[in-house]
Amino acid sequence: MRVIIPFLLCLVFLSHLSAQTIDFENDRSIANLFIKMYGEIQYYQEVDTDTYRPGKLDAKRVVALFGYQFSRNTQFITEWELEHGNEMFVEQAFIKHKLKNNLSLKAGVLLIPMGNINENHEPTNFFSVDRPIIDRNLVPSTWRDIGIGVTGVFPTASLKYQAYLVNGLVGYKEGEGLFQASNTFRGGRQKGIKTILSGMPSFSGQLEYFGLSKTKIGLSIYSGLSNTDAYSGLPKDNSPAVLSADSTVVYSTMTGLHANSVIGQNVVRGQLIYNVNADNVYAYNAKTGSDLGKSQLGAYVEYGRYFDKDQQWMGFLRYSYFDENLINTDLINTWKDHHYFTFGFNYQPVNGALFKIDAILYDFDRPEDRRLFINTGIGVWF
Amino acid sequence: MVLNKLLFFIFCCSMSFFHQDMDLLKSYEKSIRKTIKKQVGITDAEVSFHLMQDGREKSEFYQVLTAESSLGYLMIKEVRACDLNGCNNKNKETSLEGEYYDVATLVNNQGIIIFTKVLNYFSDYGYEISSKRYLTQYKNKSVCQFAQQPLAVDGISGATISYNALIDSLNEFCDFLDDK
Repeated sequence: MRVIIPFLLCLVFLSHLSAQTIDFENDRSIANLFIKMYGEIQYYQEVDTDTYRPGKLDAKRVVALFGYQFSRNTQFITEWELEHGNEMFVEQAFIKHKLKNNLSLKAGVLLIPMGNINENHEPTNFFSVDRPIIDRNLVPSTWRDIGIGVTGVFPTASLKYQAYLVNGLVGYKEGEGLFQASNTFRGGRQKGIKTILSGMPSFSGQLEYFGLSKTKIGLSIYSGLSNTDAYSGLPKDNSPAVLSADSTVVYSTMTGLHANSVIGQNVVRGQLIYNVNADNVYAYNAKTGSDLGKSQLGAYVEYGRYFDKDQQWMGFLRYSYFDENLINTDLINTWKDHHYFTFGFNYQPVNGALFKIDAILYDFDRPEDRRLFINTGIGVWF
Repeated sequence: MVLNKLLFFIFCCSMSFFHQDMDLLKSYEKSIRKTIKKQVGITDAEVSFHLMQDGREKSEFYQVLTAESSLGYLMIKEVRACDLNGCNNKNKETSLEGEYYDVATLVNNQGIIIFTKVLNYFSDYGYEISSKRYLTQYKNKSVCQFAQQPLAVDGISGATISYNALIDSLNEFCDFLDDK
């Protein structure tokens, strides 16, 4: 008895200690599992004085994220998304394993690091009701595919890098060209669903520098051939058929520059995305009947200001530019450049729950194409 | 008899404190020595680390000795990092979710910070906290002033959990210095 009481006290003390600690050694520890969710529900209403325009309400996405930390060096993360109430997708599913400080191996369904939003696409990370137009029509957010690569942070150099080999976009499937001028590669995302790899994988990389005061800048690149199912079943010695199938492939290189700065209650963000397709885009358009441009340029700059120190109320302005074909050298001169003006307000009563409202003026420089939308929605992240 | 119980209890508790056996120092000693050399100008051979205590959580405390005197105290700690897709949730700092980063802080004998350095950042988010430029602002501040003045340094937008965890670790270091 004389020994048991202090021994029990000791056990209690030890168990208390273990409860305060991340227990990487206990492979059944619930503490190593983490769960998060985010979601967006939106209402879009076009304002038109001459024509009836029904509004659209959409439970756009409800997403659950699960992570499990196997050890100090190994974790698995996955993100399951229910879109529009009836479409289920896996947006991320990867293992990350630290090989050494500054060097981790990552493999699985990966987000393509490009610009501000694709990797940080939760509704609390952008001010507008929907994601910025450039991050939908040029960067096909949420852009992800299956791949492998390395990532790491160099604290002393204030650098984060990512470099992956990923399965590329699909430009041609079941007799149909999937790329088009208005939203570039959006129709060609494979999303990790029974994907086609008809050539070499694409390269995706990003370098971010966070050594500036209150500011982060990043440079991204994506380069590779699109995939196609046109080669499927072709004899390798059938040159005319292979040449015809070659016309369903587009080689693209997209580069992006983004910057974020937060100074007190002021937020400034900017992004520039430039994509150029190789000359085979003309053969692609001829073969598929698509209208993909030779090159695309998209950019936006936005300013937001929190009205109070608790960051509950904020207003923002954004100017966006999207040119469907910057180098317009081909014969079909139908592509347009677009100017968008967005402004709105956010109310965040508690951290992670947002009410949003905004107005977007599309093509405000061309009266014949000008359109005005009033949008509102909610966003949560927890 | 009471003394025996007390000694046994102290022994048990001591064992619980010293179970880690300097794991963090082993991992980062080279980097820490290099930083001490750069910040204080003392060569590697002159510095030794004397383990004083493994902390409440994943932390180790050392007295840093030179050939002639005590340089100060060192804390190496595994702290909570921002995690998947976010760093802003203010309720998460005390949760047991799994991502982390390792940080070293050296103070002089008066508790003034000589350097704070992030040794390793595993998470994909909140890594801005590891910026050398950002951490410079902690230098020459008392390690005990953050409990009273959490805004003695700027927070990092988008890395709230990592920032709060760093401040918590400095407060823990302050408690250790008070108790030693």
